[in-house]
Amino acid sequence: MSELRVVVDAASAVPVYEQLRRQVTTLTTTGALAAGDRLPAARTLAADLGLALGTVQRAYRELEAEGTVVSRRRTGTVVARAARVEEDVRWAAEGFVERALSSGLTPEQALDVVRGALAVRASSPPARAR
Amino acid sequence: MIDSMSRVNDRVLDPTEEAFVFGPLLLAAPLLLLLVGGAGVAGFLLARRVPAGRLPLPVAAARRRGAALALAALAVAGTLLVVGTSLPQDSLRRTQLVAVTPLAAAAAHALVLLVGELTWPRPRQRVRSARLAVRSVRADAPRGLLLAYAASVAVALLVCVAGTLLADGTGRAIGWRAADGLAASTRGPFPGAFYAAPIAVGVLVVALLTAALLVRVPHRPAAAGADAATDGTLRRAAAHRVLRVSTAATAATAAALLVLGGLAARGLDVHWAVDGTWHTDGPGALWTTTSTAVALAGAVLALAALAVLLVPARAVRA
Repeated sequence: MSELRVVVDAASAVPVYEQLRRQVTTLTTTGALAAGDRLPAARTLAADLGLALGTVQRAYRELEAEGTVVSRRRTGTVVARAARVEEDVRWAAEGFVERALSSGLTPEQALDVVRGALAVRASSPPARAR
Repeated sequence: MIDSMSRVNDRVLDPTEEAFVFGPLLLAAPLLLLLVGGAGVAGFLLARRVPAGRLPLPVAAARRRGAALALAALAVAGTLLVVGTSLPQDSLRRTQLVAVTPLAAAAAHALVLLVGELTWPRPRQRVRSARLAVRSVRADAPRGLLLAYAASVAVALLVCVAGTLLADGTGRAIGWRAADGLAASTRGPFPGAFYAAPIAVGVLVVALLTAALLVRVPHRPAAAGADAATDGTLRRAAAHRVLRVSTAATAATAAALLVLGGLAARGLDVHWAVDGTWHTDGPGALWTTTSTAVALAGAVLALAALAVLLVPARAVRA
């Protein structure tokens, strides 16, 4: 937990609060953040990232609205739920990333491939179990 | 027989004498010890210091800034201490000033450090990163010093309250009168309300500024590129600096009050001669023993205050 990092690009087209929200969501999805883990105070994170306090507070509000975190008066912002990712799914993802990057794709292009596959999956009817 | 007037043993110093007692007691010997000890500790630390070239640039810059702030704060506090205790002390107000000077210096020290923490540079790069770490006062302040400071504040305030309750009407002396009313004595300086009230205010002001800094330290921006251990060390050093001086000033003030109060209370016995024979009356052996113990405890506390001032913060490692 202590070495987990978030990175923001102040010049990105994606708003900074959205960058933060996505990264925290990803960390909970991959299990890097477990249910009950505390997030730093918004003021601390804003200071470390050189951001306005409101920017971090907005990211935390969005995370709270989607149910990823809860705010508690005494303990601060805490991860509410972390998705359980099966071990073989994680291995498959790591294998895909390895293969995609070695074939010359950029991380963003590799993500596009995944998004494309998800789009195809969403548009086709689910396979029936035999 | 002698009349009752001859059994009165008043020994309350005039303002000039009181200042004479306060000034050197608070300054001369401790400063000499401090200079010698400080030079030794500084030499040891400089010899073991990791060169800036072996640290990441932002970490070296943060360490440099912390050291510069510490020096500035010490310079301001030292100047205030020397000026405050060197002014001509020809009135009771001046003796009060001398009594609160160490605390005023500690308050100035904490204020300079607080301004430094509040103006700590924010990250300006395009791409910035931060550890998802929860920081707190408890994690970023050295526990031993924190407890020592809390104890020194409690002792100082207790001494102020006890002194106020025990002092006579002047608020700067302690008195005793025999049950038959024929023998009486008064001794000072004693930490009654005259000294205790401004000192208690000083203790609380220093505590407020120290607490403000301790709360600020976990929330200041992290040094870019510093790992968790290095970042923690830099923060603990900042908390250590303020706690060290605030603890020393508060404990030294409490120590001075204990020594002066103990000595004054110890000297309340009245001696008189009747037909060539000396007689003694006073508050009793238990009172005298307790007063002596209080004065000795004050002396020990003064040494502890000096020792605290020489405790170095943990250094940044490469």
